[in-house]
Amino acid sequence: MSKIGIVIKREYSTRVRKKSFLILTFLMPVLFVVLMAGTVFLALTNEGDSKTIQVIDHTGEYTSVLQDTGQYKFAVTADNNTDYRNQSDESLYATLIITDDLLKNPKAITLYSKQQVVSSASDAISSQLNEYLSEKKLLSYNIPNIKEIVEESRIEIEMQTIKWDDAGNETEGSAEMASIIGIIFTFLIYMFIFSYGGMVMSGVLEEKTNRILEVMVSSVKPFDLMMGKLIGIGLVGLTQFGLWAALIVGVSLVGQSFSGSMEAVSEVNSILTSVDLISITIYFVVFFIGGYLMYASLFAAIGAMVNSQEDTQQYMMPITILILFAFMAGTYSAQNPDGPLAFWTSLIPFTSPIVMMVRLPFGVPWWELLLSIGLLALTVIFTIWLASKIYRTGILMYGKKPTFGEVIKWLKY
Amino acid sequence: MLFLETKDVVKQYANHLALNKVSIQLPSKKVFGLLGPNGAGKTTLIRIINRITAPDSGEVLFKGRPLEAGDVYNIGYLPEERGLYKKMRVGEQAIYLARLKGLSAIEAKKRLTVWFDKFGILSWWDKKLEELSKGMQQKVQFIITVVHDPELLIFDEPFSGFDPLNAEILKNEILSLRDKGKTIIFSTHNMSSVEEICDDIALINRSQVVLRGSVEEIRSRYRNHIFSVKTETELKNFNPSVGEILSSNKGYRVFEYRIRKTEGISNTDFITSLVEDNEILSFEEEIPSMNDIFIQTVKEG
Repeated sequence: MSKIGIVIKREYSTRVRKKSFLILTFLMPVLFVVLMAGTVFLALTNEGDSKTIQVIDHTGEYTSVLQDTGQYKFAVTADNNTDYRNQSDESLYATLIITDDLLKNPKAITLYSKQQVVSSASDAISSQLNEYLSEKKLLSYNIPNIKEIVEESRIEIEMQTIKWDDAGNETEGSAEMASIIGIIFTFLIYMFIFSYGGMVMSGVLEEKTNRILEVMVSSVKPFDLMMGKLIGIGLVGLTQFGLWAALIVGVSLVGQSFSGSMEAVSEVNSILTSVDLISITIYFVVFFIGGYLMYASLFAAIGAMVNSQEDTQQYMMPITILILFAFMAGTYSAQNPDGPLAFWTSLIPFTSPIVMMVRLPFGVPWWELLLSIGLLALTVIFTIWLASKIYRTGILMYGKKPTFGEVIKWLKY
Repeated sequence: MLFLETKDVVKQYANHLALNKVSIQLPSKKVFGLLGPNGAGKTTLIRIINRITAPDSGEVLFKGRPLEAGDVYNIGYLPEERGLYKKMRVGEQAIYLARLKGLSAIEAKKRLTVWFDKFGILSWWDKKLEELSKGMQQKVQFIITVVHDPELLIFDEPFSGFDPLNAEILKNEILSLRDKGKTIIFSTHNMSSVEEICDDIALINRSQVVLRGSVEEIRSRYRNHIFSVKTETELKNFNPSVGEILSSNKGYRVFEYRIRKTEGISNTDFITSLVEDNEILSFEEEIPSMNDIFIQTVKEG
């Protein structure tokens, strides 16, 4: 076995056999589901807790218009109540005061509160009043059957979205599903690059601070050591992803066998198959490999440059910002997967692995994919070259933190 | 035959000259002491021999031909700053490092078992390194250095972290490696071990070789003709023309003198002048220790 092979084997096997790896791999999906369910649950319970808005209506006209919504209750108070300002009733959320006919004077309505009023409260009031007032206005024109005409004129279209595949066959498309899948894959690749890149850095740092490298560099080329580490840890990442994919396939297969009784599952399945998950998964792997190698090689260089975990912060900063920016760009691109932001950031190598994941479920022209992968591959070659130069010198340098000037000098050695 | 030779090796770092035309010659199957104060350039020279760094100019000859990349398999290097993976099992990482030095997995395991047994640490095979004491970790390091049976061994401060008992075991192990025909470079500050172990030395100070030769030859070169003389009674009729009494000391029924012999007078004449009127208990020339020579040379430089 070649040197790189021996190093890869160690990096891979020591990590995969760790208990923390196994626990994390099988617990993460569970944790993810629990978190999602928890958020939904909390959001639902929040609605049951309704807030009271006190209504003081000088005209007496609108009190019957305001109906309680799930979130807000309206309590009518006598209009001569003037000390509302001093009320210390905790249950009272806000006070609505209407002083005049709103058709004549639309500004004669004010909402008071001791807190900043959330928009859902003012929306609940204005939407109800707007509807009532526009109806009242229409009626004031005295046109016969106006109510029926208005009812009839309310048209809602029901549009289906259908995606054509290359052969022109129709598949049912779902933009929501596509963006959800896109976001999930974006999040996954972001998380993978960050955590496995970080693993590379702490691995290099461990070898450096424990002075292991000194023992090894006489028998292994630094480049082999670095590549072995990069590849070995990358394989750990792919293993984890593979296990998750297997887990999801397994669960959905079990779900399918019950699908006779559970229509919801088969419905989810049909939507899932509408998005080409298999090709997305393949592209995920390709972009993960590219993005991981690009960032992890830089992380390896940082690990070789510094002498302790604390020193890494300064050098990590620009890379962290870059990855975070890519993640943000990815999230925004979900709204507009063909917009200029999505287009450019999915071509620029430092953001493309993350942003491309959002765009994939919506379909990306093949030349863009090819260009993106090509640019990424070139960048990977460059960053690995750069990192290996820094790594080679850095791993045997102890003492003070190198300045950027010194690091640039290392490139010339 | 010279086993290894460096010729006018120069290494310049950004702001200082680490090695200035350093030439050393290592005879085959001997222990070569590479001495010098901290920062003199020893580690840089060792790294060049290991091909970890390249010299700016000059060359390294291995068995008479220029050193090649493959030769590092024939070198075992125990660095001064050394460590292993703390969380990895001892046996597993020993096999890993042995395989990186070119052994097959099976061969590595076989040889390591023999060595572990020899040092009495076989029961630690499946323990994590962090569970071992520092001395035990050092033993593991030593084994990893020699397991691939290289012809040249480089030990940089091998005794640091060893208690006297284990240091003795290690010293004997180094000497037995020499007896088996290995060539050894031994770098240390511990001068008493140099006298015990080394055949030849080179003393590097401020990037240059300032002293070289065999230990015996150097020690005799640094003789300053001081004799330690013990007599039964006080020294009588001492002739000042043969020497100068530097100090005297009265012990229990013994008188001790340190006398510097006058130059040009033979040892026989010197001792004859003493025995005429005195009962001599012992007569010995003080040969300077490597420690004295080290300090004297470095201070002068």
